[in-house]
Amino acid sequence: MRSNSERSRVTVETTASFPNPAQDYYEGALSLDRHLVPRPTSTYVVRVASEALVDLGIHPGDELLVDRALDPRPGRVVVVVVEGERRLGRFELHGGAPVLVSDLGEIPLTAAVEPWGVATIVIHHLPLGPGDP
Amino acid sequence: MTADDGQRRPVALVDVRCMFVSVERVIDPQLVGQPVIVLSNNDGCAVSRSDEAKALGVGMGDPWFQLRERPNMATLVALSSNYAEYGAFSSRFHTTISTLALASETYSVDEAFVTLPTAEPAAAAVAIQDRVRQWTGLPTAAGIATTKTLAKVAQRRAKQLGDALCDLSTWSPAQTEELLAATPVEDVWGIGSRLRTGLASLGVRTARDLANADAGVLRRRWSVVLERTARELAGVPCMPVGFTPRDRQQLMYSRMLGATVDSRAEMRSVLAQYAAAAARRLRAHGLQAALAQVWVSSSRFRDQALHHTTAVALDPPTADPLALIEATRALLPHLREGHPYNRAGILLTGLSPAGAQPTLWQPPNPARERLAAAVDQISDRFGRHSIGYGPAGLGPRRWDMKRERLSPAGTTRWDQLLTVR
Repeated sequence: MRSNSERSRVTVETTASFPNPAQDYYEGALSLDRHLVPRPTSTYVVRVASEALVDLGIHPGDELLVDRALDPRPGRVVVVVVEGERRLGRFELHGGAPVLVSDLGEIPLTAAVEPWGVATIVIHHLPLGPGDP
Repeated sequence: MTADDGQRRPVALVDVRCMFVSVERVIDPQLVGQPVIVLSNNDGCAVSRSDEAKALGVGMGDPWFQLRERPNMATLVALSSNYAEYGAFSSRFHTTISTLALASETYSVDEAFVTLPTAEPAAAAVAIQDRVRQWTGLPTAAGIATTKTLAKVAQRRAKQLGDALCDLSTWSPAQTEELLAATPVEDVWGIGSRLRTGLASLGVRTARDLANADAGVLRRRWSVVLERTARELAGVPCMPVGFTPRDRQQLMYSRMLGATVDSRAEMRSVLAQYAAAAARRLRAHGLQAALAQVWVSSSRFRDQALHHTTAVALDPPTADPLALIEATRALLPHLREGHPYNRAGILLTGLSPAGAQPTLWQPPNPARERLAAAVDQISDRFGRHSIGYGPAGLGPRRWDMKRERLSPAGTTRWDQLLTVR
């Protein structure tokens, strides 16, 4: 389990002799929350537990941001509930009929399948090599 | 009347259907369609029931140790209370509503009052309910009327019929009156069984009776609050959305222990933890307390049940966890060493807004306030067991609440996230 704590901190220092030239322009640190999660109320983080979409660079153990405010649409990566289980795949139209496509197979999106949300971001943690962390 | 006359706009009460069970079903969709209940503290009794569980005959408050012995309950799924998740979903529920409503008021964990537009209020309510369903996965029932009290009657009606919506704004006065006549007075918002007997002596037994009662008599014999309720039943708005008549008078933090505690040393740690939790709630409401009552007791099902209580004045009034922890110590000498205590609690009264009564002798200590805030932030960020006040120690503890059937903290902890295959 990786820690989600901050590892380092960026500080903007000022001294009497050399005023920081950025001080009138600095608008706060970059916020990943603001950047990645425009709608926190409808956004959920889920953990990928299969190789369903390895082709798209979505690996087991990755975290997916899923926005329930977005509607499933062709070309989107979506999460649906099939027989009580959350499943991941690309939303495609086959001959006009919506289908969930992944390496685990195709699931026709009938009325029995409940849409759960649209995946917007994948977070993939890279190995840090010897001496980790 | 103008369109922006907020007083006359329709009001909706939007309520999450069996909130706790519904959250469990978002976490684990396998539970959809199954008889499911959520149990109270220490897995005691049913506090939330799915329709399927009600159909099996599970009553509100039925103890789990009895339910699980019944042969027809074999399919029943019982879960421990997952408070972290219910809190997270409650916050999503209320925030989602606020993205569409003209105005909204958080009434409880799973209920919100909403101001609706004068034109097509039902369509606006349905849009809110649809968005709540899409964004949170939670099903709702709503009641629409001209006042909050009537909206609550309408919502109760929708729930009874299993409908998603009951819109009294389209009903004729005669139909509304019929509904009020079929509503027992103790089911009206704010009445309860406590007032039932007194009202019955005036011949007031149903919501209709109360709507027609003499407002002056209600005010003189009971209170202006009851008078307002009666007027609202008659269709006169007295409590606009955002207006809550009651003030917080006391704050109680009381729990049954997951295991009995029979030593003073361990009870000191229990009370310190409860005091810190109570202090945290006080600060969350921006309040301070002038009196702390502390008690511990042993099971009333045992011989020689013991109950000890003591009261400690907090002078000056405070919300400082260290001061409250110190106050709870006054009880320890009363305890009988070796006796199995199973419940402890702290009741804070004499509440006032923090900083309301500046004292001459002891100025507020900003360092202690910052310390309390810092501890809150650390436990928010790194988990409840990451930091604690001296005697409270770091958990988990032996006497923590029993939750053997707990679902994962699927939307509130990185190590327990919901999964997708």
